[in-house]
Amino acid sequence: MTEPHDVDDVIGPDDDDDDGDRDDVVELDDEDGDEYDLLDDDPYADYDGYGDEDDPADEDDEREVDTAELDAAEAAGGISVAGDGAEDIAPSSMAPDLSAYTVDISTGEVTDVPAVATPVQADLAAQLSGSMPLLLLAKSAQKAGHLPEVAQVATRVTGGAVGVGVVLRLPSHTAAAAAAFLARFGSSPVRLADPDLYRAPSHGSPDKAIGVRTVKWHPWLANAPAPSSSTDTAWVGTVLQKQIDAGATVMLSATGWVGATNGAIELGHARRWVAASRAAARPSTPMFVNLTMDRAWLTDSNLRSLLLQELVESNERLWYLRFRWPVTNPRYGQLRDAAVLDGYKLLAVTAALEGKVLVLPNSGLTGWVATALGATGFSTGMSWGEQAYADPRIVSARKGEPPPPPTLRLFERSLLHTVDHASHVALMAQQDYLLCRCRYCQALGAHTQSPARWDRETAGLHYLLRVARLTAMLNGPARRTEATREVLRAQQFLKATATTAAAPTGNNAPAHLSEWYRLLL
Amino acid sequence: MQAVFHAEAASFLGRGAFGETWRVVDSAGTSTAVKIILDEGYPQALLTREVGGLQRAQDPRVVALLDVREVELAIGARQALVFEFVAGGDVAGRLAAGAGPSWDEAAQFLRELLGAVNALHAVDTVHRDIKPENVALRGSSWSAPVLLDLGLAKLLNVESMTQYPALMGTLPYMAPEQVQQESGRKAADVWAVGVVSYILLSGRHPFLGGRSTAVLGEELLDRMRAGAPPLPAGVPGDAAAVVHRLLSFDAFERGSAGRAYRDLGGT
Ligand SMILES: Nc1ncnc2c1ncn2[C@@H]1O[C@H](COP(=O)(O)OP(=O)(O)O)[C@@H](O)[C@H]1O
Ligand SMILES: [Zn+2]
Repeated sequence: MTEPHDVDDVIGPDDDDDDGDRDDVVELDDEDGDEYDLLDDDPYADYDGYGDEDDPADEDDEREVDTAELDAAEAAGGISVAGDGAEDIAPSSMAPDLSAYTVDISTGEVTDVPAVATPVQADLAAQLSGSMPLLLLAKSAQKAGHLPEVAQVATRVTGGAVGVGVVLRLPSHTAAAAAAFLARFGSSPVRLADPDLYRAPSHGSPDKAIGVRTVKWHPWLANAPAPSSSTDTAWVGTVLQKQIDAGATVMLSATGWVGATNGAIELGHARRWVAASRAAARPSTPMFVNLTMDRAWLTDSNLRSLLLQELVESNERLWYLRFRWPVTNPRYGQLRDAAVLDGYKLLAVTAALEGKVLVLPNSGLTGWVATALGATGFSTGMSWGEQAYADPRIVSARKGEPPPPPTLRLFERSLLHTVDHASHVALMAQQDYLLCRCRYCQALGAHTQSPARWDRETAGLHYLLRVARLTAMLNGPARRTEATREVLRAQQFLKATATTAAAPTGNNAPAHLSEWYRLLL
Repeated sequence: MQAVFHAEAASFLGRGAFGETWRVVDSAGTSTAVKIILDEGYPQALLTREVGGLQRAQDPRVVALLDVREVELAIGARQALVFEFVAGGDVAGRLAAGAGPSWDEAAQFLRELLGAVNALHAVDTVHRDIKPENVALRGSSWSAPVLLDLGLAKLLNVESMTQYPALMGTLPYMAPEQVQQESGRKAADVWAVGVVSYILLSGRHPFLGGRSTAVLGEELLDRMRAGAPPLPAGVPGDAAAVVHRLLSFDAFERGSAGRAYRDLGGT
């Protein structure tokens, strides 16, 4: 099935992205080369011999200076915003077109920016109360040095309306590196150290096997007991303690993969381990029920009813549920599988009715839509692997040919979607285009026609700030209305481009918008 | 201890699936309801564990279990559960006497019964046999229901089932999943509250229409799937909406007792 002629059969400029039905097809990349499995999207890439860093959290250390400066300025009672970018506007002027400042579009120069101090985030109890949205910045394996800064800026630009927390994958770090990283998020009350137990060999998730270094450094993961075995108090205690050692402020239960084959039985096993985790957790430390589930738990009506009944009946209030998506195209795009989205909707609505706090890790802007529908929050990150937990695309390069360089995509606030540079430039000329004025876009030169300063990491930081702003729209009783309005706005912008050369096509087209609109209505 | 069971101090309350219940007045004049487990040699440790939820619930709407002890009877030693005595009669008695509540009283009854079930569920205890006979009315007030007999359904063993077949399976109050032989979880209690309340609000069973012996199996499930007929127009709207939700076929759609309790203004 890796024959080149098969591959040729599926390539073509118009051959784009149906969801879910092609993971059995070996594909060469489609037209823009964006579909390659990039190493930095693998959560453990740096860890299992692909990367050259022993300690991912230590990379980009020089970036800490930036955060330190911010901290110092904050301590002094206010942040000097000279050159700090237009995101530092007063919370009251967060709406896109209400600004007390001036931006020169041709140069990107910003003037008249009011000085704003970083608001103090709401305390942990408030962020876990379900009364405000929660955005968890998920540390990717590489290029995470700027994340503390993003947390600060996101807190400022959202005026404290969003809980901005952080989550890292415990098995990708040494204990010391994990602790050092989380320690940099002192002003984020919600800090998670995800044990990623679904990846344990005994859990049978579809993920690829954990690497040798993970086995060596994290024997508790490698030797995790099978969910079907009787609960092991000592092991559960270890899993919780590892999180505490890393500086986590909220525990994740010692549970992992819940498959669909024997769904009811597997859920029953998970329930036992959650109870064991509850018994082992310190009463003072909150804990999420932590499950990573086959998507059939969202799409199959029997399994979904079981899951929803579990949510309704359990006395546990905090739920951290990750679902494995089908292959999702394009990477850095949005999930469009209607059945999965409908399942998310029912889950989110039920959680809200029951006063449960539902957090959807690694769900990107699908998590944002779910939050508009009743979830409390979600996690996303700079890399695709943190934005989506999905079946991988099987990609093969033709023999002897190096893979084409990945296309860099930028998240467009106008479209709620990522596009390539050519599309970005074309869109910018459109009426009602919303230019992002964040510091990262300025660094990218995003307002210019030139791709010279485009860079993947900076684009990822801009994405996170945009997500924070979108999430801030969901603080309030009318969150569903606010999200619907935002999606409608993007649809109208898209519609207006339809007859122009700027009309986004292929992977640049935000095909998810109509699905989102249907869901939100 | 022995004095407690002097015949002149005790009056017979009823006979259930597990044994007999007696009202006992002690020398200080305090009444207790003593339930004697007829099953010979029932291990006390097991009994204590099974009824543990009762002691943990700690809510005036859940009957207080005062003691678990062994008593000497003419037939030999038996385990006994000593409960607070709730004076005022039970819902079944009131219905039999044709003395049902007004709609407003029924709505208050619904809210407080949900409060009771919520308190029980909060300590992860499931009643599994909520029915008019198991709901007392403190001081004969419809707004002060007290849940009796909780957790005891679990105590039923094969022996007691064969001994008292007629008393088994309170079919009219069973949730669809119980009718389908699945064990009842919290959602089954929520369903039963719906059935009892529906009867109080409308004077009829939501699915059996007075011919309970004639409707069986698939037909009953079909009726449950189709949903309960509308309640009379004068029933307070929020109570009617909650009762219909509690009678949802799909367990999760019933929502928790706590949610329904809060929907009706409970805190
Ligand atoms: N704690 C109590 N206080 C007052 N009355 C009670 C108490 N417990 C039981 N009863 C009354 O005794 C009757 C018989 O109780 P029980 O033996 O438990 O039978 P059943 O199992 O049919 O409910 C009940 O219907 C109820 O009216
Ligand atoms: Zn930007």
